[in-house]
Amino acid sequence: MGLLDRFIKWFKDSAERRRFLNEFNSNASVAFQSLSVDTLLEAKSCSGNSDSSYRHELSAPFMFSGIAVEAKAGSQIPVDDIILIGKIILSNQVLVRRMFVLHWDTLIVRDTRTGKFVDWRIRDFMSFGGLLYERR
Amino acid sequence: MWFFKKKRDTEQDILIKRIKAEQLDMKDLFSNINNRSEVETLYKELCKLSHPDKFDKEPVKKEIAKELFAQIQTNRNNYNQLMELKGMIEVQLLKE
Repeated sequence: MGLLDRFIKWFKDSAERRRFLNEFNSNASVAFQSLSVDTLLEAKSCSGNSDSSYRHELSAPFMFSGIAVEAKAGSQIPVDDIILIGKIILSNQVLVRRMFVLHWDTLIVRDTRTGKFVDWRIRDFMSFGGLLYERR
Repeated sequence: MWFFKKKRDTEQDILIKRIKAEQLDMKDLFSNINNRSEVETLYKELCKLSHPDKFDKEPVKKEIAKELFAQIQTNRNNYNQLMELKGMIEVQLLKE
């Protein structure tokens, strides 16, 4: 796929990326307000990791290739919990696949109050699994 | 005319469309995030309960245990799935 094609595809999907972030944020806010989670999480698009090993075939331009999940309010999150939240997000295959096709290549989980963060390569957690088998 | 002709979808485009059409369950995700402190304990407990080596003398149960043990590994960070598996272990392995 040429560079121009990739850029056009990324641009076409920007509305879908925004819709995905809005859906995540509204669900996070409902969960926080109903006291079912102790931390308010917010997802936003940001620059990804500059390391080339993070990039994949559908990666967006570097400045927009990261998705950050930030703890905004509520109790502070220790690093162990940051890692656990990341693992929980990445163990959800539907979510990982969606982030992959929406051109993100880096998942960052960050506590804005302490500034601590951990990032993951999304492509490492990607498995087309059943989807490919189903089509045969 | 050739420049108005719509490009045919490639295999990759079809796969991407299917992925975008998948149903996302955000509520499940946030419930897993909320129960994150209990996930590790539950995982260890279930590993102990369903370890296939425990059922060496009962071949039928050993097969079931192998399957459940594999499912526990794949759902390691999914609290709701682990709770469902706990119920299955109690019914299929632990009852006399």
